[in-house]
Amino acid sequence: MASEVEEIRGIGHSVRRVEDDRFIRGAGNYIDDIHLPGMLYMAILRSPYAHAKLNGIDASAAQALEGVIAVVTGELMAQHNLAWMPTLSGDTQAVLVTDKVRFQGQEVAAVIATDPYIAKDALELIDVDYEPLGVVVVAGPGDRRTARP
Amino acid sequence: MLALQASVVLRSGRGERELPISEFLEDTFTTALEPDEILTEVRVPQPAGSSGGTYLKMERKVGDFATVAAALHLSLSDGTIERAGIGLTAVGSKNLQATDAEASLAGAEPTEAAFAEAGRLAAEASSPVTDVRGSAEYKRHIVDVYVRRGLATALEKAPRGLGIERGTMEITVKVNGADRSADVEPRMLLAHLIREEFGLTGTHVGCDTTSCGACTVLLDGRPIKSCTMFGVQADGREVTTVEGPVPGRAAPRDPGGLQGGARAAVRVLHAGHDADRLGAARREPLAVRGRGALGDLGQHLPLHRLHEHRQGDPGGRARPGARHRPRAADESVAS
Repeated sequence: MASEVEEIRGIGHSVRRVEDDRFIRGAGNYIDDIHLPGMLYMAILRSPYAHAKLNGIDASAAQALEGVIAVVTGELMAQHNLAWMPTLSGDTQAVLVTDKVRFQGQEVAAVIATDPYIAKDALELIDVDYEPLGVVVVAGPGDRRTARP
Repeated sequence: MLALQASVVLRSGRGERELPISEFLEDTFTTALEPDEILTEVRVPQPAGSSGGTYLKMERKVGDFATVAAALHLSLSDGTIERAGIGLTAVGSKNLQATDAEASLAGAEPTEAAFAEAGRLAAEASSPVTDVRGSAEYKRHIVDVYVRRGLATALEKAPRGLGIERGTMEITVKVNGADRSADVEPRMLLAHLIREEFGLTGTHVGCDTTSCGACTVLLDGRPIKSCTMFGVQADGREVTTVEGPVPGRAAPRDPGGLQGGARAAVRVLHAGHDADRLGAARREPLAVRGRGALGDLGQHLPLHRLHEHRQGDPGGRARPGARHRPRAADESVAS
C-alpha cells in the first residue's frame, strides 16, 4: 500500500484539479451567473443591408413600450460625441450607424430594457428608413473602380 | 404556406417580383422561378384575431414522401370563421389549395357539419393517383378525414392564439425534487426559467443553438438541452439540474476532463443518466460521454467508476483534504 501522502509529480502524471468540485455541483459562478439589483438587458438592431444611406430612425413606438428604459441610436451617440470611437488598430469605428450603413449586420440601434424579451420586442418596433446603395460583391482591386467609400 | 396564404419574393438582376405560393408552385418539381432568379423571401401574413393551425401527414415511415398530407389554418373573429386555409400535398401534380372548401368555411360557424362539408369539397378537389402508397380512392378518403380532423384541431388551438398578445403563464415545475411555481413569459426558454426564475445558475447558456450542451438538464430523467425548449413546456414535469441529485456525480472529476467547467452540466447529467439506465450491467468504458456536446470532452468516462460510486463510495475518490465534499443529497443517491 502506497503512502497516504500524495507524492508531488510532474510531466507525464495526472494532476487532480482543485476547481472541479464546484463545477460538477453547478457552483462555478461565471459572469452571467452573477445577479445584482437593478440589472438591465440590451438588444441590438442590425442592418439587413450591406450598404445603405440612413435617412432616419423612428424609435417612438419602441420607446413607448413598457419596460423599455432607452433606445440608443447613432444620433444620440453623436450628441455626446461618442458615435465614432478609436480602436486598438489606431483608426476609428462607428459604434452605431450615423450617416450610412457600411456592412451587413452593422449595429443601428440598441434597446435597454428591464427584461430580454421586452428588449427583443422593442427592436421590432423601431422603424428605420434605409436607402439601399450599391454593393461590391466580387473581389477585386480596392481602387476607384470598385471602392465605394 | 398555402394554408397561410404566404407569398415568395423572387429577385434577379432585372428586379424583384412577389408571387403567391399558389402561383409559384407550377407542377411536380417545377416552380415559376426563372433561371436567373433567386428566392429571397417567404412572406407569411400575420393571422388576424384568434387563429390556429395544424399539419397532418400520412407517411409509411419517417421521412418518406407523404401518402397524403394536409395543412389547415383557421382565423376566427366573434365565433365565426373569418378565413380558412387548406393546403393539400401528394394528391395532385402539385400542392393544392382547396379553394372551394376554403370558401365554404368563410363566414361560417366552426361546426362539425361545416368541417364535414369542407372535407367533402377538399376530397373532390384533390386528384390523387394510385401508386405504391395507396389507391386514388383511399387517398381521397384520407383527404376528407384529414381536413375534418385538422380543422377541429385548428379550432382547438385557436383560442390560445399564436402568442400575439402579451401575457404570462402560471406554471409549476418539480425542480430537483421540490415543486417550484413561476409566472412566466410564454416565450421564456427553459434555460432562462431555471437561471432567472429559479436561481439555479449551474445551467449555462453557451451557444444558444442546441450545440454545446452547457444548458443540459434532465427532464423526467432524460437529458435535454434546455435552451431549445420553452419553460412553459416543462409545466407539470420534473427537471433535474446539475445542482440536483444526480447519480455518480463525482465521476467526471477525472483529471483534464472539465477544462473551464462551463459545460460541466452536460457531462455530469449524461453520466448520471447512463449510470441510472445501465446500472451495474455494464462496466466497460463508454465512449459516448457528453454526446451532443461541444468542448470539455477531452475524456471518455469509464462507467465502472460511476458504478463504484453507486456502490456506496461517494467521497472515496475525493482528494484528501478537499474543501468541497459531496452534499448529503448526493450521497443518498449515490449509495
